[in-house]
Amino acid sequence: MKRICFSSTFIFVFLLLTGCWDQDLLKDARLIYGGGFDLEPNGKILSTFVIRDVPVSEQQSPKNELIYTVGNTPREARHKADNQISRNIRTYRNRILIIGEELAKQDVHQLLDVFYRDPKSPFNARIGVAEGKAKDILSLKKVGNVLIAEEIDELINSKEKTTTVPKVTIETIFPVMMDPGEDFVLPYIMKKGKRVDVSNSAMFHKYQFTGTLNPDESTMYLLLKDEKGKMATLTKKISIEKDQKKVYNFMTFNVEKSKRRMKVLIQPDDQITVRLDLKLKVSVLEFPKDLLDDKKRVARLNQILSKEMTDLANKTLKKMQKARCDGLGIGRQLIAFHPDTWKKQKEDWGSNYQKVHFVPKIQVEIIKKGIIM
Amino acid sequence: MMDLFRKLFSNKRAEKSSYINVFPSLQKNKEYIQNQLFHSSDLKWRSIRFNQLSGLIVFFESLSDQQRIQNEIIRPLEEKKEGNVDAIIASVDIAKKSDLSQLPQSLVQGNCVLLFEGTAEAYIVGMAAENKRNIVEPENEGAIRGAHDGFIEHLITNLYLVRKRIENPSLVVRYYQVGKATKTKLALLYMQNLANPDLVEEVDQRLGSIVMDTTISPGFIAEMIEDNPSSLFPQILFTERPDRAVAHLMEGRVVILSDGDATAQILPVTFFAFYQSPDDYHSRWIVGSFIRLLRLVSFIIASLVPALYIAIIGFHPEILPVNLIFTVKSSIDKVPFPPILEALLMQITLEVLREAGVRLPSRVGQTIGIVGGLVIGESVVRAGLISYPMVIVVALTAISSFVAPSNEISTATRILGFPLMILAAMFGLIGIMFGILFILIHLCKLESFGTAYFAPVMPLRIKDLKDTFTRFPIWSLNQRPHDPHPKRVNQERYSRGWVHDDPEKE
Repeated sequence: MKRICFSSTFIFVFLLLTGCWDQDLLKDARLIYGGGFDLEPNGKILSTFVIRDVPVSEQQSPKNELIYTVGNTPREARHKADNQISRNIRTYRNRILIIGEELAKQDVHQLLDVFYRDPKSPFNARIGVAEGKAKDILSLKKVGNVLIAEEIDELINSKEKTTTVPKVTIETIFPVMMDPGEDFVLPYIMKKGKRVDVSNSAMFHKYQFTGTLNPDESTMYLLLKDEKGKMATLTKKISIEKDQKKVYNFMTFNVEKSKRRMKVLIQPDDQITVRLDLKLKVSVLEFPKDLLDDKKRVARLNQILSKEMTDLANKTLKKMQKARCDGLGIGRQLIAFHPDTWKKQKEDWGSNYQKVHFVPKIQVEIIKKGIIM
Repeated sequence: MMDLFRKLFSNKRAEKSSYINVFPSLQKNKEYIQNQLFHSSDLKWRSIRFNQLSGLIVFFESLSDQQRIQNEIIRPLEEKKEGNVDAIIASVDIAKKSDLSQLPQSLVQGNCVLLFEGTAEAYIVGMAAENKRNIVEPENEGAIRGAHDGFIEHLITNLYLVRKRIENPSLVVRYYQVGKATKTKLALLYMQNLANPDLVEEVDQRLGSIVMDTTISPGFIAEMIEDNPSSLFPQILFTERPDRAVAHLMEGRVVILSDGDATAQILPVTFFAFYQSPDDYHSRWIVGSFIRLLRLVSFIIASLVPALYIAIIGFHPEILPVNLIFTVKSSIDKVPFPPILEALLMQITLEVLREAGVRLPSRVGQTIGIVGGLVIGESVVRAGLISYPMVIVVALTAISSFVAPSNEISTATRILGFPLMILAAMFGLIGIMFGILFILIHLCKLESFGTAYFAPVMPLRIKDLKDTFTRFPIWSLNQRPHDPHPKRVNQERYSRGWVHDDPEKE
């Protein structure tokens, strides 16, 4: 009996001693909603943390607190931020990470290292590249009535749905970053007066930021990658007849369905040709010029649109090749289907990729033209 | 050694009593009975003359029906003056005894004793008064549709309620007497052609081996015969509904009724029997299935949600979605206690409120509503002692635990929450996982009267699952549940005979 009493006390005390060892109370946390990293002239990293504070009463609206710190690594900067603020900084609900343009041109992989090591890091946070400095964008504090980090996060979210920027998170870019045969594209965040604009994309080669795509090119890239969101709206100039009035010469259409076929062909002289067949079924959203009840006219419009889109595709691919950004994963196709060619070319894939011959062929078909018109 | 002791103190010892012949002298007999009953004030006697012999009617005025004594004993004897006593007395229950020592016992059972001068025999006439309340619907086991009668404290009435529902000669009733001092009457009911004989024998043996002075509530008997008295889970289903008792009888289970109590004990049962209600079978089967699933989900909610909340707030806040985390955070930022203390405080308050609600007379009952609902619910949050989410969690727990149709399991689930809460506060989700693991191991290991408690999930029997998590249409339940090992598993094959008979359907 004595022994049982003794051992049960022993176990009980030891259980209590371990108690709350790993505890990490939510009420003791200061939650970071967004963060930005910039390159300082002396080579250090300037970090901007957006901390969201929620008031107890329901009447008051939440507030953002910004902390700027300079450190050699992101983690050091975070520790310095922790010194400046009460309670503990916690990053597990970080929603958006912005990298300044200059820093993105250095090495993103080394910057993000800490995110891939910490088990509590916010893997599903969105990531983007800032035009200029991330600090400047985050320092806006508020856009309209919405707090800055939330605004950017939701802006990117809505732009992903309209096929304007790629759908990426810290987690999804990692395997692409590690893949020698593929590169990633991030949203490019710009400051427009007191607002934020997310419509362009930032191209990367390996770990470095190498160029941007404008909104149309960005959409075209996503269509070529077969990553259409819910909508994909484009406006193109239509010049059927030589018309004097130039204002209403445009057509806005939405891509309803898109079907892509990509084929990588190897010529005997190791010339790589990539054939991209894209079939788009579009609905006309706006075309003040004309009624679309004539089948011949529709066929003609289809032709014009196909040509316009093919031109856009060519332009986009040229730009990507110039930036050495293998966003379509041609290298991955070579690894999978033409390993011999890949072995020869992998050493200098960046410049070899620029020699790839792209043959885009886009067929547009108007399938919907609205209710009455 | 222990066996020897057990034999020495076994029940047999109680049965041995000295045999005394009834004295021929009336006075001596009267004195003996009075002494044996310690001159109790409610012991009455009346002199009578019959066959030119002076006689004595002895009875307890508190136990015997005096009206009947007058009509059935005194009046016929006075009118006839002489003859055969057995033939004259108009009572169903009459017996001759020559053992004087048995008379006090029959008197306290409500019998009336008839003695004559010079006769060494006593007549014992059953004259017990029947004071019983009406058959009403049990308050704590209400049902929307179906039978609205309930067991009462009178054993014979309860037996009537069961027999009336099963008009079958196979229904067997066996009487037992338990309690050395109180001599409580028990009735064991089972279907001869369904109940497993091993089970009946086992129950019979366990009931026979009970040694105790007083048996008051059915909880006494349950604790005496249960396999695992220290388990948190009830292993015997208590019910006050005859329809529930009958349904279980027809599945080959055994029912114990006790005199002086309105509760029937059904055994052996599984965990899932506690989550079945007669209402399931009265509503349409899709509705019944939905509600039964809801009940089982509410079991999980009641036992798990407080622990989960503590684990998330204390250890893994990162699993909350971003919109939720700020809402929760704004509420808990100012709370001075750690989450475990907060939860314990609220859970104990809830238990206290519930207990107070049970004990409180209905006229003061409203106070509980005001004190509990307004003061505890609202002010505690306003004062910043407890956070809103915690109040919601505790309220959810309470409501879901009360969904269970059996009060025993509902209390058990709430108690079950406490160890899980402590584990969650110490180890987070890992602790909860280990807690659930232990509970499941315990449930799978538990047996009651040779039946697996967690059947039909463990051991798995797919056919029985039809009437476990869901309630399939009754015509599709062609087999009885396998867990009580009934003699005949198969029921009828085609319940909807017309479907096959109708020629136009083919």
